Amino acid sequence: MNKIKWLIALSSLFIATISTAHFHYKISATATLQANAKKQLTAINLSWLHDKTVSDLMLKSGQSMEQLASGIANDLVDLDNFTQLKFNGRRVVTGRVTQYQLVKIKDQMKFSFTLPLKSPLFIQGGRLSIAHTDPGASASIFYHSANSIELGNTFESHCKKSVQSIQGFEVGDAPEAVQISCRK
Amino acid sequence: MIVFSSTWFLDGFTHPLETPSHLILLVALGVLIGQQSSAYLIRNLLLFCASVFVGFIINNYLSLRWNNELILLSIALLVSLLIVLRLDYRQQGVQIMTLLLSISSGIMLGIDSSPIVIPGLGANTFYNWLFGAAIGIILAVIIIASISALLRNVLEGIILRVLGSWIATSALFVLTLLMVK
Repeated sequence: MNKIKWLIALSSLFIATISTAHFHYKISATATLQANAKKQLTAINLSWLHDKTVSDLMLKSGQSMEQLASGIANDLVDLDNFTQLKFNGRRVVTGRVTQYQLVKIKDQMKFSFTLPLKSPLFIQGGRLSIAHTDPGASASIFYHSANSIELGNTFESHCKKSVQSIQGFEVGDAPEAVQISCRK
Repeated sequence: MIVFSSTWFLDGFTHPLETPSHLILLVALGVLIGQQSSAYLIRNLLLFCASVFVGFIINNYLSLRWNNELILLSIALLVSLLIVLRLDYRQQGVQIMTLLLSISSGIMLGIDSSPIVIPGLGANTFYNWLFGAAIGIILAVIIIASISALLRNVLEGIILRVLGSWIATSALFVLTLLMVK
């Protein structure tokens, strides 16, 4: 009888833990292409609106907005900036995020920053793709529509933008295929 | 400053229980350790716990590109076969095998436990998640090993051997799905 009591007690301890799921959160993004005088792509200005859950956690972390902003910028270095750029299928190397700012909009945190390219790039006559992934399989970054991408004066006249949902994406993987196709 | 966060702790805590390859290996190892005499139970558990932390350190400092799931399931398969065979635990060879399996299981579970890092909350999420994962992994093995120790001699150990065969089947099933992918 004693053995059975122990068995029930130990089993309930084990089963009770399987109740919550892996932490996921969403970010709504916008992007603006930045060019130099030679009409080369030099950087992408991004803004990420975190969902209410993560925004709440940030606000409750006891850090000031400046501390949080620099923390985000530093952490992004180890997370590959959550962003992979490819031009005609080849990886485009990006640098550390610059000109970052964190603001509170209602009860959500918006992180705006510039993601510079290591070297300027002619995208005319090619296809630029943007993929946002999280190696920790927690964040999913969405543009929702092509309207969230601004091509800017330099690229607007000869580039087309598209955002397509990827069906059955796994959390952490890119949920959307973002393409910017430019003619010469 | 790192502050205890129940959100990240619980997320880490439940990670090994939500990951099929982790869960299969944890159950298998718990049953194997519990199936052996209580004299070796504490030693094997301690070695396993230490190995989990070694795995965390390896994962943090080395970017290993192994197929962790395949290795975890293969170890689980070996462990479950040992449970089914129920070899005499007093033999030195069996003891060494159990020791090596405890150590390799701990290291691989540690290596395959990558913490959540939310930019801006980096250190806090990282350490709370890892702390939760460590407690989850260790507690699961301790609880299963304790249950198995209580069942060790029930029906001459048949219950644990049947459980071992189910674990082997589960490991093979997930391995097959992995190969198909």
